[in-house]
Amino acid sequence: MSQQPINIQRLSQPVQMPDEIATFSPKVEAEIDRHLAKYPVMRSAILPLMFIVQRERGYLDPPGVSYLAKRLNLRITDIWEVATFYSMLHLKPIGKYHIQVCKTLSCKLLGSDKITQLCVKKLGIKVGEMTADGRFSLSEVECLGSCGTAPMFQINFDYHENLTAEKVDQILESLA
Amino acid sequence: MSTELVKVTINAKDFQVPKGARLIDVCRENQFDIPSFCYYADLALQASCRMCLVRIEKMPKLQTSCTIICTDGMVVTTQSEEIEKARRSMLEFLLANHPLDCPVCDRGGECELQELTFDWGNLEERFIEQKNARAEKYLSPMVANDPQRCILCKRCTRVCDEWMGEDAIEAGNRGANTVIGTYGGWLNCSQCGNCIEVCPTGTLLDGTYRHQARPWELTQTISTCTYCSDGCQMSLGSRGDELMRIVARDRYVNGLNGEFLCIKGRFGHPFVNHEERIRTPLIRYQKGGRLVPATWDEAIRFTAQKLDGIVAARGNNSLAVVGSPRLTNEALYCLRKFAAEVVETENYAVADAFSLKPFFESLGGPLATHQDIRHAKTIVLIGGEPEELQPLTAKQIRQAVRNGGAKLILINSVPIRLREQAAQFIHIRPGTENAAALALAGNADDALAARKMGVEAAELEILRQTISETQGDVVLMFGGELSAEAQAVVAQMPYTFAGEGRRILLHPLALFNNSVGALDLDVNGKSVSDLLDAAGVSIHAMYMAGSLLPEHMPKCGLSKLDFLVVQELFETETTAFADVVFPAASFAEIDGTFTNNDGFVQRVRKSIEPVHQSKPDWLIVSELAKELGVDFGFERSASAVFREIAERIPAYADLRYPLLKDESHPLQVKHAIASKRELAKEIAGIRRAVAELSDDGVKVSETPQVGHELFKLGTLTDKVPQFHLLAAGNPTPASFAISPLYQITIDEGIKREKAVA
Amino acid sequence: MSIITEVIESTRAIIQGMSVTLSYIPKRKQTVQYPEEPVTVQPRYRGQHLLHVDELGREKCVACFLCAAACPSECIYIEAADDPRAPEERTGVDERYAKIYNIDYGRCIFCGYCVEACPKDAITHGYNFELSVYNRADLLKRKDDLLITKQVQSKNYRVAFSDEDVDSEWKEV
Repeated sequence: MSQQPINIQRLSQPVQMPDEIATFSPKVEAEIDRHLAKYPVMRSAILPLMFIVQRERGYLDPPGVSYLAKRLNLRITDIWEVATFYSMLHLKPIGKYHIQVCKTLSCKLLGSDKITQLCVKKLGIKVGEMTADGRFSLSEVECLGSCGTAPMFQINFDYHENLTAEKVDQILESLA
Repeated sequence: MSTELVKVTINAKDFQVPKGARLIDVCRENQFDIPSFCYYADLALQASCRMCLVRIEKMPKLQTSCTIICTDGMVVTTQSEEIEKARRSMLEFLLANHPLDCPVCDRGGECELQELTFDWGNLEERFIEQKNARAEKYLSPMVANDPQRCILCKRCTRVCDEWMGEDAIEAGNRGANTVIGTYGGWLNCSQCGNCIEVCPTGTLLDGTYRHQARPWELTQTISTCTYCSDGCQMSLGSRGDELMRIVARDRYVNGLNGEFLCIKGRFGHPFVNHEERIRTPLIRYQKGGRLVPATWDEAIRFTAQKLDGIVAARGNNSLAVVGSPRLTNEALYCLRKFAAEVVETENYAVADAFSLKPFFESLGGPLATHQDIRHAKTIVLIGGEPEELQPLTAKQIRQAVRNGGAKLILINSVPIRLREQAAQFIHIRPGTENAAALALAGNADDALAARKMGVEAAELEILRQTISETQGDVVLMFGGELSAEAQAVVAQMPYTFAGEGRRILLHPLALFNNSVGALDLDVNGKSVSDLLDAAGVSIHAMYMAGSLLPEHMPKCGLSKLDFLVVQELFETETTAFADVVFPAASFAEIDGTFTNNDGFVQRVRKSIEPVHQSKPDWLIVSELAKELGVDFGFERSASAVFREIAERIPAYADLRYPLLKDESHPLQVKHAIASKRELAKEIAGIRRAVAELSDDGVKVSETPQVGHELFKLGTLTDKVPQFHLLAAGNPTPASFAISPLYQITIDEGIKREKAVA
Repeated sequence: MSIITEVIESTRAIIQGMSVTLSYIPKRKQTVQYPEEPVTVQPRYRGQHLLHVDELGREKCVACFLCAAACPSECIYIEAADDPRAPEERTGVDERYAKIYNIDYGRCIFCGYCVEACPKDAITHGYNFELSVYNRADLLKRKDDLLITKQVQSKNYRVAFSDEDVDSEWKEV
């Protein structure tokens, strides 16, 4: 229906862009260029670029977001839209250990709610928050593909499966 | 759309419909009711609400009729038990998380969700789970947001993207947590409020009218916007003697703008009931004294005496009459009649920012309507900045490019926002717009024009080639930058470029709501700056309706006048010089007509009684004329004035108020089409002027800020508290939960209470 | 008809009529010595309206205008307003509240439609029935006259208990 040109240039940002724009080392810039070269439509490179910015800056901070908008010729709301869609992209600072409790069917039936409640109690934070010392973040995510060993959670990139109350205690103790 | 017809059977009835027609439109046109939330004509398709499901033979499942294009032999059922069941369960899902707060919701009473729930809702809700509660908040001074009421039809995000080209709001998060929002939570867009208008629920609401009235108590009056020359039709909602809000919802009004309005049209109305309105006639008995309230009789008598005295002492031409392009045709006609027949002066002018007179004198083709712009194939825009000054025109251009595949050629010294849509952007040096007219006229001066504009000569060749290769409509638009000669050249372009299958339409971007009408009624008017220069020299008294524009103020000789009469809504810089001030009625309090830049004559209707002691502009003039011994014979009827306009002005011949009553079929003024003539003199003049320009002007490379013109505080917009926030850069408040007006103080004008008298 | 039968007929009619009258003399009196004695009103009596408040003393009315819309005599006038304060400090239970709430008792017909329409149970009929005033303009009651916390209740009525059947006479028929 709409015949928008593919690589249009965004001239104005209807939403205030953060004044500061992130800068990266030449090595990272080269990596970004490599990704951009892969796609015929520039905006398709948004996900790899977001991961790079997040890897470099810890999370998608405002200067990082405005860098992405500038680099990809997108509106800042487009970046926001994508960043909020994925649970592995963060617009807020994230703890050293990011606990992601699976809440999809198998885990839910086998008591993922209890696991979440345990973590909430133990860490003293709500779902979606970070502890004051910046060590832990807690969030609930959709299926992590480990239904056979439910309930489970993922801490950063490691799976912890067949969880029980004791096991959760143990894991959190060992990290604290 | 082609004229080829296909046969479609709907509910066992056969219909011949144009090929390419959308099923939902065909059904609705033929009175088969199809409910929908997300479908919105002329926007990208969404098909997310699933309310428009129909059964099409040979298709395995129910189909969304909003995404189906009619094909030959299609057999459609729109009513059956299966469809009803599907629609009822879809609505049940939509209501699963919708709060039951209709009594508090401002949309209650005109809510599409409410209406379809009456038709398709079940008596009992089966979802007993706790709802996903989300707090109410503000997205900007104008837009209030209650995310929980959202049914995710995404009309707002599509409108923001396709109409406004801003993409300021988007859907964030995922699944059941999806919300409409923006990065950082605070909108800095052009605040048009179209997202509010198209929202079928109470998710996005007018922040300025929040919790003030309910739609069913408002009297809806269809009228024409009083700001720019686009002449958007809108519905004034008034309660008693107070104008509460302005909307363009299609349930109330169906004008050339559809549901589109800009920030000024939608939110710029609180001046009508503002406490600073002039309440009674005011007289300054002594120069340097105070303006003292007086009765109408006294003020009229005083003015008549003074005018009589000055005319007797210094002759008729010592008096000047100045109109304003903001007035109705009726008021301008009475002023002109007053000048010509009562005081018999030659000095009559309209205080417009620029005159389109040379353009209309050489007019070589019809004016483009907004509908023509939407379906044009090529659009050439010389100068101007419609996004800020004529937002509806900008929207039509944007849609023509994005949804209609038109080519936009932009000739501008500034990379304005429409550049995103431009197929060709000729970035010229400031002040060299006239050279573009030279380039349009022919390739003889390409070298000179290109050098002065700072562009390649090839770009001008492409411009001419694009126009002459277009199949379909070409719209030539221009802003106020063009000189008189350049206007004449552009006006004659239809003769140069017209060809087989190609129409050349013209569209001047006049600045004010009745600039075109003022010109139509002004037969041999003078320029207002000439009259101001003569003030104190040959002109000793002036009768003004409305105030001077800021650009006329600095050199204004008003202080040198012996006697100045002003008709105004507010005390302004101009009334500071006045000896008599008459309180005029605003557009919401009068009957009349405006002529927009399409040449459409559109009605202005009275929504509330004139506030305080104000009177319509034309009535004040007629009463003064009567005191001076000439009875216009209009007898308090605006319709009688318009009848006389129709009798005396050829372009308005045969027009009457009853013919103008349908806002969905506006009538165009019959502007005389000038025949083809030799342009050598004009071209030579432009060439001379262009040759004198400097070769090394610096091009502006910054795109102007959103709202740099829209948010400017004028006499009228100054009365809207929210405009003060926007003019101050729309600061982000500490809390989004309550209106920023309660949190940020910028100046006195910002107080909310002041907006209501 | 002879004169004798006429006399007998009319005497019988008088006796019949008077027997009804006289049979009421020993019965309990329905007349009340108002205003010395309080009038007994039914629990569902429709007197002057009351605007209710919640347990925190906040007005229940959210100014939805449904009462005004339902009113057949158009005697309710409301102006809504925004209350930006924190929930505990608000005038009403919601952000939206009635800045002005007027009922014109010169027009009110006490039909009770407003009470039926109210989605928040904010307005009900009270028992106050002494609405006569010396000045017609005083028939317009403002929010302060209607709020349950501020309305002055007349001493001249008592509400019938639910088991007390004052209306029995009507029911006997």
